[in-house]
Amino acid sequence: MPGKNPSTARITQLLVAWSDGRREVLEDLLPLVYGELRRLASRYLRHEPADHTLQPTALVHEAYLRLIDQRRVRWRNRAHFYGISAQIMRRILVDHARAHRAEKRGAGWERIPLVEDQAPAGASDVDIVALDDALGRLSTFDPQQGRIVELRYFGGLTIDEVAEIEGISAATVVREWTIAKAWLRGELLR
Amino acid sequence: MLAVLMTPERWKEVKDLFAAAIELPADARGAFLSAKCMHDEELRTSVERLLVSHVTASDFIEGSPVRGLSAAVASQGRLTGATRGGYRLGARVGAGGTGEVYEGWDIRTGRRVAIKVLHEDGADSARRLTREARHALELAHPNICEVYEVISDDASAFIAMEFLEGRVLSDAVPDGGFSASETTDLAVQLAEAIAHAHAHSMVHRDLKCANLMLQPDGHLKVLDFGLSRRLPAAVESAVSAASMTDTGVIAGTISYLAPEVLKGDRADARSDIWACGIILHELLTGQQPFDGRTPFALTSAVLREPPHPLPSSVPSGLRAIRDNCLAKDPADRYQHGGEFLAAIQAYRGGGRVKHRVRRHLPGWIPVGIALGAVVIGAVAVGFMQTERHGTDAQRKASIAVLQLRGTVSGQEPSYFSDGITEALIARLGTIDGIRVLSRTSTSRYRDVASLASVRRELDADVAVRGSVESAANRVRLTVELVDTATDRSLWGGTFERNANEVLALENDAVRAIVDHVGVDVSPSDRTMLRVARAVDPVVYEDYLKGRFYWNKRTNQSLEQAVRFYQSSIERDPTYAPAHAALADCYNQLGTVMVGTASPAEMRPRARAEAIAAIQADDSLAEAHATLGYISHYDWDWATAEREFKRAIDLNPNLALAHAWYANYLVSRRRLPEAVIEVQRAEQLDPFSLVIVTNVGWTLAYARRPDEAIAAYRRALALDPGYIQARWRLAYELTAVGRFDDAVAEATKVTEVSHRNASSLSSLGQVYARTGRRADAMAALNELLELSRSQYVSPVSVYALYFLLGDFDNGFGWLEKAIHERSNGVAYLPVDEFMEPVRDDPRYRSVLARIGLTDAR
Repeated sequence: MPGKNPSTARITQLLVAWSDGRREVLEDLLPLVYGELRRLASRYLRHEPADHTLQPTALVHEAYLRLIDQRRVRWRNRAHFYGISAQIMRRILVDHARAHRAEKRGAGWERIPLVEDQAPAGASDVDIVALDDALGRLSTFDPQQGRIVELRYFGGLTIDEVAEIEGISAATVVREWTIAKAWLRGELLR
Repeated sequence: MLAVLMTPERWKEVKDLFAAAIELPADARGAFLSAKCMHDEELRTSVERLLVSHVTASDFIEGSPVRGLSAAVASQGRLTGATRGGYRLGARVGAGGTGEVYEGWDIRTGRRVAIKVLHEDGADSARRLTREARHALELAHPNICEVYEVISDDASAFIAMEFLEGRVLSDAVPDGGFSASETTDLAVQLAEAIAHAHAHSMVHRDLKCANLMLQPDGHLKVLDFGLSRRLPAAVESAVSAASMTDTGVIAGTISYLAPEVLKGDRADARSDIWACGIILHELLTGQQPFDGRTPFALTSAVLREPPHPLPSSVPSGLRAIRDNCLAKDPADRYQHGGEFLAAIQAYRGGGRVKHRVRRHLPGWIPVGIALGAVVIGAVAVGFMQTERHGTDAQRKASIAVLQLRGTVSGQEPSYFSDGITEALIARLGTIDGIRVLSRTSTSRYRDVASLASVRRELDADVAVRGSVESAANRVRLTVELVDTATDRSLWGGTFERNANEVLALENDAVRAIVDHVGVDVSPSDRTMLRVARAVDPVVYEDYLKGRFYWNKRTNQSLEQAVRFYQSSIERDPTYAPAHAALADCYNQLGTVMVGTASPAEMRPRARAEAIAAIQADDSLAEAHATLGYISHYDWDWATAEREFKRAIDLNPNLALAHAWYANYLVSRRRLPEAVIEVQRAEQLDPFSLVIVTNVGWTLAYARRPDEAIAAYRRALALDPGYIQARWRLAYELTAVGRFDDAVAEATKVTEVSHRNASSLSSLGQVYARTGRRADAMAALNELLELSRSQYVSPVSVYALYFLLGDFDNGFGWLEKAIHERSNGVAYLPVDEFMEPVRDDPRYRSVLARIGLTDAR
């Protein structure tokens, strides 16, 4: 892989160790992944801010290819890499949104409710800052649901990948995800 | 609002109740929660709030968070937050040569749209542009960005169009260009769009990579059709302006212009082909084929120089196509998009089409050889349409929508798939230019493997078959178009939406079907197909259940249908189809439920519902037909005529509207017209017993007894037990002198019907007509005897009295019929048994009372 980071071997090692249950290595692993993801994200957001279709998985996958030695990992490791990346993506995206919000406020712009009540949810934009706040509240009484939303939405992970990371069945993920979406939807419509 | 903090324990209770409630039918949840929550109102409220949110949450946060980001970073345009012509404008998502583009929402439907605001430079300009853009409304093609609406006022113009996600091709072309196969894929899509537009006499005039949107799935969409009339003027100023040295701007405007346009000729289809050549070169190399640092240098290169050579890696086939497109003399190029498409497809290897089945139509459309197109394997549908315009003698395409298969979660009956089938038929029926067979006729073919019988018996060119799935608040509709002559699949597609958008989903499918059948859809029909209101899934479900029971047509099922419709209306009084359907139920109950409801009682209720339906949706053909029916039997002749015409205008394929209108025309003694209308109804619904029998009945009034008898026999071939056809046949046999056969038939019918009122009346009428007066009197006495113990329609009595020449009693019973507003009264002007009393003052007075002084 061109441009592979010299610390690839170390990051790969940390990832494998973390996936094997050595929780303490996360502290070393996170900053390394964060740096790469933030670099990719800011490059992307600077150049193509209008491309709404970009999935975080695309960035995460790019980071994964750059940071991890593919020969030494299994699918499980990849899922776990995506798992931590979801937290990071959430932070990057929310920070980005907050910064722009502040900028706009500075320019005297009030946020305008764009969506009529009858607009179907899927067609409307999600206020990512408000979502982040609501997700924080949700996590206080249901941390697992909070993580599921983080993995699904901010990490772009599939139901099966989330099930793997959380160590629960796919059916449970679907159930929890459905309920969390409904609750968050309600919160954002308040 | 939610002051109480949620705890993990409390939340678990809420989640469990939610998970259990969501499995229940919506109308059972209230009782379930009451039982479970007892007096814990707070718990109940939490669960209910969650259930409500759940309805609109199905797509929520399912997309990319980058979209969420765009809400925060979206740039504010001048019009952000404004409302224009029914659209709310949101973030400005782009700005270009012709105007600004905003993200927006259709306030009526909630649909997301892109709104292009054209630069405001005077009323004339706005008018001209909107006139042009309106042409684009007629273009419907998967590779052309769909224009929904053009709105203009004095000074400015707005265009509402399909909101597309993706990147314009000018940003997406890699530095070294795409591979040959990627380029071919894109070029085929471009060619399809251009071929379609050229076939509709639309020239783009401003084709360039910046006007081509590449969607994430690789689908290409051509933008800005119909917006580029102003181009020649812009070019003139660009070319002449010496100060104009920004090569970027020049590249964007001039480098796609054909030599003849630069020389001042009008842009035509061949100048679009030139632009396609430039685009092809760019896709292959990432570079422009002509260079020039100033407008003059660039123009000079375009006019005189050959294009830059392509790398040797480019296959010779693609090279030849590019060379043809970039011929300096337009006469040397492909003459229109169809030729370009044929060439690029030939290069790709004939019929190997990846993501869309070629729209090859069954034999009723001549192939467009006459146009001189190079025809390889298949011909773009647009050219067939051009050809059809040329001859114009072609008959309408005829479509049979077969019963959709349903896989609906839960064990509900087939009401859902039945209902969607019916809705597709109704929606297709509103399109001019096609004949759509009614459901009573097509539902017979549910399990038929071969479509040959569909072709033979229904005379249908194309069959639509498919399935509908509904689960977790999503509805998915899969449809396939099949050529009934060859059993070959012509096209297939899958559509999916939220349950509350099921009407829009039906429209999606109908649009795709008509596009793939190759019907020219008028702009107004197309607009209709674009408007679909959101409907609460529960409301729609109740409506479909109502239809399900209505179609069974038994007394009990009609009552069930009434309950479902009422429930649907209660929840959403603005849902017009439920009102119209309820009106039909009341009408039927007034005629079918003998003994419990008279027409006088049911008809006002039916009328109220029909009017409510029209108030909710004036474009609903069924509602106008029903109001026509009611008005006909209420002797409100002017309204009846107006409403029937309106219904048929709205949906020329609504069989019952034609049949009911025929009945009305019979009343008005306009028999030749009546025959035409009722035969039209039979064409649309050849297997409807009611309609086929009505054909016979109308022909009988038109004094065409042989044909009437043939029609009754057709009905009886469909169902030998259909009593209405049988006793009318018996009666008609008397008109051709076959008295013995008539009596035999009538006797048989009377026995089969257990000597009920209408059969006794029929028997008596047959006896009277065959001169067996004593037997007729006996039948009449038996009928009168019966009327003492049960309800007997006065029509069946007065008909017999008049036939027997007992006019006093005849008028007596006629009086009762008028009082009851019986349907039969409307036919007095044509009833043969009234002939002897046409000059009787009592008859004249009756005519006056039913508003028919003009009849003799």
